[in-house]
Parts: sequence; structure tokens; C-alpha cells
Amino acid sequence: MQVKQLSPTEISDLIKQRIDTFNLKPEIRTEGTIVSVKDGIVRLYGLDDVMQGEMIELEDQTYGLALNLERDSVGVVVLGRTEHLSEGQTAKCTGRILEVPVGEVLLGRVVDALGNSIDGKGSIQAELTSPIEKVAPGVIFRQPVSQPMQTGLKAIDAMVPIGRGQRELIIGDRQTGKTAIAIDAIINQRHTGVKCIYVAIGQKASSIAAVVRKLEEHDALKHTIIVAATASDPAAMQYIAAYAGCAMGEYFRDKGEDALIIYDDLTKHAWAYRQISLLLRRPPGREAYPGDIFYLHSRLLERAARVNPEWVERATDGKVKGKTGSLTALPVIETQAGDVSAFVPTNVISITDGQIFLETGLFNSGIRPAINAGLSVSRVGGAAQTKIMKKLAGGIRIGQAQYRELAAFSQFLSDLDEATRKQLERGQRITEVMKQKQYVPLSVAEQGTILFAVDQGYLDDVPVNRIAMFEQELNSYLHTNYSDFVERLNKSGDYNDEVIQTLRTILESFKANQSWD
Amino acid sequence: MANLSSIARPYAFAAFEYARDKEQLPAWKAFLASAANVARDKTVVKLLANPEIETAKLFNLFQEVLASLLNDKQKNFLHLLADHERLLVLPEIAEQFDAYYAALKKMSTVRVVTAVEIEDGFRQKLTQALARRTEREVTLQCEVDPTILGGAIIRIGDRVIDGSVRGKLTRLLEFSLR
Repeated sequence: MQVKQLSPTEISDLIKQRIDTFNLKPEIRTEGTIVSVKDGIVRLYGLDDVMQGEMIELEDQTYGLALNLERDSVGVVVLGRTEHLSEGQTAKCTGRILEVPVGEVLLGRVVDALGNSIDGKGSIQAELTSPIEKVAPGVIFRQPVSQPMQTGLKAIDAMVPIGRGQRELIIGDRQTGKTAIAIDAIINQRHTGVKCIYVAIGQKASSIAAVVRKLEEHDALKHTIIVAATASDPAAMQYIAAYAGCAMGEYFRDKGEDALIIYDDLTKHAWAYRQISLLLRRPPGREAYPGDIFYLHSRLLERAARVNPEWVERATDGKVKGKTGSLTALPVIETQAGDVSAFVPTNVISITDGQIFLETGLFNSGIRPAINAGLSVSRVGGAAQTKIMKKLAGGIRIGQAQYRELAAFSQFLSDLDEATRKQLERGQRITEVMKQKQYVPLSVAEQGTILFAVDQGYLDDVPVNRIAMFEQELNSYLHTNYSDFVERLNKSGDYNDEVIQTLRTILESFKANQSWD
Repeated sequence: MANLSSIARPYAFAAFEYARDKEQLPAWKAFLASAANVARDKTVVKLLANPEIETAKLFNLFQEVLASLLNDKQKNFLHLLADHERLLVLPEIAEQFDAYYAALKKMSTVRVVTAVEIEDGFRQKLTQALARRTEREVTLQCEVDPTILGGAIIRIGDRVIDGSVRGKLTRLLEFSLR
């Protein structure tokens, strides 16, 4: 006879403990009957005192979410398989709102929308759980966004800076590098102590596996939680994944730490919710989305916030004092043929504190990240920039937008005056400097140095096609010869006479020793 | 298809309130029960579902079958149902009427599932205990199901009190495997 292997729960002491604590009193529960099962939606008869959003226990350890409370029936979306469900089976109320595990144990793991591990590294022994739907902190407990969330991308940190606690939308067509920005931002948090949550909604499982592999390669998985609801998961799982990820991020925010959450992407999240709503027979509105599609995203993004010490103190029962917490959100929206005026994109643009707009045209002409400087804005991040970035990058976004206009216009002119030519040359160089390879986020000092170089005209005599090489060499020169300065600048982010003088010395000695003509 | 109980609700409620105000509850209850029985009959269901048959004929059919029971108001009620082509909903209306009636009289039916037949003495005790707990007049509906092994499962509407041995064993299993 073959005997099943011992499982970790089969230790005598544990079993004794279990026997001791097991409650033998009769169980009192509320039961209903399944009336119909179709398309992942179960209709129940009975359950008069069920709560909105309550977990319902169905047959064989399957759970559902009560979303529609009607006069004669309850509409439940099933979280998981539905093949084994049939008419006439009983369903039980659990008296609980859906909760997911939260905590440090989740870092470095890949979980599904319910917080179960799906990375084959064993089950997750989390001590705490948190409801997925929570009300965002009120006005009294908020603090202005004042610390930078460095993405390590020159173009973003210079032109559309993001602060901790901000919501910055990444929007663009397919294949314009939206996820690449998000991944770089995660990789750049390796040494900042910012915890990251990457929520993949409705993506191919292969894409998610690729993201996990890339993060692992760059040593960025250890501070990251990946919440995955793939395209093959039920719509209900895709719908709750965003809120589950948010709950995991809030755990860090509420204990006075900084976290970054990426929702990739909210278009598919809206699609999943539209599917659920239509199947629950809620009336369709514009583009067949239900009436509460705005609230769907606004309540989610409102939970990204910077909270004051009082909130943190309350949330931790006074254990953490005098620390602010933040949850920064980078939602991703995929547009169709650059149409930002579709329903969901306009909604999310209006909810967030700015957007990074990516364009196919720019991407194909080699400008990567393909950020459109004219349409991208950050409404609060400016206040959070480090001094050096603020000083050197201040005019770049407007300058770049003007340069693009001028460049397009100058194609019609035969000869240009000296000032225009100079402006074009500078614009070209700045465009070149804003380009950056994937997976190599830069520190504040590295960004500052190259921005200083272009600002002070050190690049004017360097041919445009060699600027990338120049920058690369400059960075290695910087690290070999001025590592103390780099460390200091990264920490303080100051921009004063001493910094200016050092930067001048660095650039002059660098250029003096090499030929860049 | 619209929900039958949603269609039946206004009719049942109207009939109930009318009967209550005129103090004719038992008579209406009996009338609706028999009318529902007629509407449940297989041949009648076929007739009701046949669009070729005029509503007047259907009304006459009901009137003739139930002649001994009907008073004028109840005839009117049937007429109304026939006019709206809702005679098919009669069983549902009767059921809801009974539910309103039970709520008014503070009566409830409790289903008790046990592994072995309940003795009469115990049945009385149980009825009294449940009546005290629910503050209602309780009618017991007993079932025997040997697979629950021992104890009892009591159902009061949606609420289930599971004191069966099978339930406890299942919970112990879930608890120790967690």
C-alpha cells in the first residue's frame, strides 16, 4: 500500500494543540441555494442577511464575492473554477469581507489575486491579513508630496518628476515601452528601501514570467511583490487583483514606509469589471461600461497617498512614531491608436496627478523612452525634486516641447539664423541625452552630471551620434575617480557653488583626457 | 424570463392586505391554495401556456372548477389575473401569501434533520425550545438522514444550526489541515 508523505501539519505537538483549541460547539451559519450558474456568475436564493462584498463559501473550498444584492436573489462572482458547481447546491455566508495576506513575507514572491503563492516556492505564512477594499485616508491624515520617487530614467526624473505618494499615469499605445518604464522604476528602488508591488492584470502569463525573470536578474525581486491575474484567470480575479495589490502596498504605507505600486494595466481591469457588470445585468453605459467605472478607478487610486505621522501612529498602535508613510501609484493605460479621449483613459487622466504620454512615432524614431514632452505633465512632483534636478532640469520639458515644434517648422526653411540654429543644436543634444537604455536606471549624481554637461554647453562640440558613448564613459569616469562625491551628491541632492565647481572640474578633466570631436 | 417571485409579489401582497383588512384571511388562504392547485395541474398548465386560448375561457375554467369556494371579490381577483395573463403565477402567489400569513401569525416551519427517528417526548421539548428561541410558533418538519451520523441539523429559514457529528468531523478535518 502506498502511504501519502508526511505533511508539515502532521507534527504531534501541532496536532495536540489543534485538538486542544478546536471548537466543538454547533456551528451556526446562513445557507442559501444555488439557482443558476453561468459565465462565472452564481445566483443564489436565500441568504437574506448577506453583506455587499462578503465572501460566500461554495462547494469544495471555492469562494465567491457577493456583488449584487437583489430582492429575490444574490449575484455572486466565483473566484476560481466553476465546473463543479451546479444548481441546488448550498452556499454559506462567511461573515467576512474578502481579505488577502499582507506583510514582508510576500516580498520576493509571485502571488495570485487572493494572495496564494503561484511561484512554486511554497505556501505563504503571513501573520496578517487585510481587507482588499478599504476607504482611503481622509484629508486630516494626509501630508503634501515632498520627497522624490526616483525612477532612474533621466527623461522622467527631469521632465515629469514623481514624488512619493503621487499617482502618475503611464499612458500609450501597445509596444511603446509602458511596462519598461515601470520595471526600470522598480529596479531603481534596489537601494532606496522603497517596497514595490507589481500588479499584472490580464497579461499573458509569458509576459509576467519575463518580468519576474528580469527583476530577478537585476536583483530587484527581493523588494517586490508580484500580484498576477493572467488573461486566463476569471474576470473576477482580474478585477480584485488591483485591490489586493493595493492592500499589500498599504501595509507598508501604514507602518511608515514608502511603497510603489504599478497597475499594469487598468484598461484590462476596466474590461474585466465591464464583463462582470454585464453578466450581473447591471445597465451598460458609454462603451458598455457600467455607471460606476469612474468610481472603480478613483477609489483604487485614492488609496495611493502620503500619510502623516499621526496616521502611521494610529495604524501601528503607537509602535511607530514620527514617520510618514507613502504609497506611490503608477497606473498603466493602453490606448488604441493614440486615442487619449476614449472613456477609460480620460477618466484615469483626470484622477491621477499627471501622466507620462508615450508615442509610437517617437519610439520608432529611436527616442526611448518615447515620452512626448508636450503632453506629459506631473502636477505635484516638482515640489518633490532634489535641488540639483530642479535647477538643471527646470526648463527641459518646456524647452523640449518647443524644440520639437521648431524642428518640425524649420524643415521648411532654407537657411536659418544663428540663434535658431543654436537652439536646434541644443535641442538635438538634449533629446539625445534624454534617451536611455532599458534596465540601467541612473542615480541622482549620474543624471545631474550629464544634465549639467548639456546645460553648460560641454556637449556642444560632441557629435550627436557620440553622446550616448560620451555619457557612458563619463559615468564610469565619475565612479572611478569621484566616488566620494557621487555618494555625497546622491544623498544630499544639493546644488551649490561647491557642487558646481566639482562638476566643472570633472567635466573639464574628462574632456581633456579624451577626444570627442 | 422575468423572475416569477417578482411578478407574484404585488398580487400576493395586495391579496394579503385586502384579506387582512376584511378579516377573511383563512378563506383567502384556502382559495389561493386551491386555485394554485388548479394552476399546477399539467393539463391546465398546457392550456395556460397556449396563446390561442382566450383569457375569458381560462377565467371561466377557473371559475367553474372553484365555483363552490369563490365569492365576488375572489372572482374579481381571478379576473384580474386572467386579464394580465398571470394565472400561471398562482402557485407562487399562494406561496408568498402563506409566507405573509405565517409572518403575521408569528409561525415558522423548522426543518430538523437527525440520524435516527426523533421520539415524541424529545420532539415536544425541541419544539418548545425552538419556540422560545425564535419567539414564534414552531412547526417541526422532521427528516431522517443516517449519513449525518449523529446529532441534528436545524434549519430556520436561511439559518442553519449544525450540531451533527458529520459537520463536526468535517470541521475538525478542515481545522487540522489548515
